[in-house]
Amino acid sequence: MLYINQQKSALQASTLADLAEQLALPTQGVALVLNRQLLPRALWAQTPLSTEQDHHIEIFQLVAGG
Amino acid sequence: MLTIAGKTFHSHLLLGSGKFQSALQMQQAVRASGTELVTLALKRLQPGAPLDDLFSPLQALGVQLLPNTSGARTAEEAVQAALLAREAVGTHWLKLEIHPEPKYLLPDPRETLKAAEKLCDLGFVVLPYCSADPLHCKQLEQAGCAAVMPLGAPIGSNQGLQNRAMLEIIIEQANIPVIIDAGLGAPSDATLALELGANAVLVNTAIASSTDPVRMAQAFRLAVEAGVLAQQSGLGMRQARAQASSPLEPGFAHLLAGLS
Repeated sequence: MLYINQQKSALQASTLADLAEQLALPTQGVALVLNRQLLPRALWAQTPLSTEQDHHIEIFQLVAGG
Repeated sequence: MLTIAGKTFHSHLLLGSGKFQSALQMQQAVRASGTELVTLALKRLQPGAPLDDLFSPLQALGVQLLPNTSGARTAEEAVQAALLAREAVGTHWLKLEIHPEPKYLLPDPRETLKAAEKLCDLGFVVLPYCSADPLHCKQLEQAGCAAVMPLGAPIGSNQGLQNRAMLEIIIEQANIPVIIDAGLGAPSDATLALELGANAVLVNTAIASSTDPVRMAQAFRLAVEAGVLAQQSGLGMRQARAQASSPLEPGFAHLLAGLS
């Protein structure tokens, strides 16, 4: 099962890059944590999301702030 | 010129990007303010919420992005936020802010110093939002911070330089830039900060929550420029007694006939 920002997700993705595409994440201004590991974008394409285990994904985005 | 960590900026005004009515208005204010450093925050993506790309438009304006750690309540949380921000923005510049209680949003000095030490060790260029406490600011400088950002008054309060006396000591003692952050309400507050010797100011609410944020951004730009010019020119000494600025010509007495 995939959890995105602590909510169950029905999405199915083979890699993190695949997931990012399905979520239409912007190409910049995003940070992603997979199972408590901060993963640089350069590694997303080579990071598989196996269906054998749960994956907890936290996605942060740049927003306006002072 | 404002130099932080070896990088030079022409503008002495840093702008916060929060509270604007739209992304477009924020961009227009950024342009009108002349700022070269704009702060941003990080937030968990809301599933289903529209993705608002602030990154590209700000990049197109040529400003440097300065992510903050808003939301962090402890040093540990701030370090985690910093690592996320570095990944999201691609910069090791960071506005460190740790304010655990919401009523006054005052910076936690102990956690801020602890986080600053750790983040400087990790190679971040750390600009901490901090208490207007001269000793604390010295400690942050010794920890390796690239600047200190003491508050004039609580965030968003528009009260101006309530901590003036302490800010003057901080400015006097600092060997790194002093950026007055938080609480500035009017362009004249920004001018005063620069006149007192601050290197820069960071403004958000006073601009974003005004009736016309773009014109207010321009007002702050001019006010900061005035303050910089005044600082460079050297203010005159304050004195208790008058000092005549015209000759006190004594020869006008009993000069003309027929007037009395």
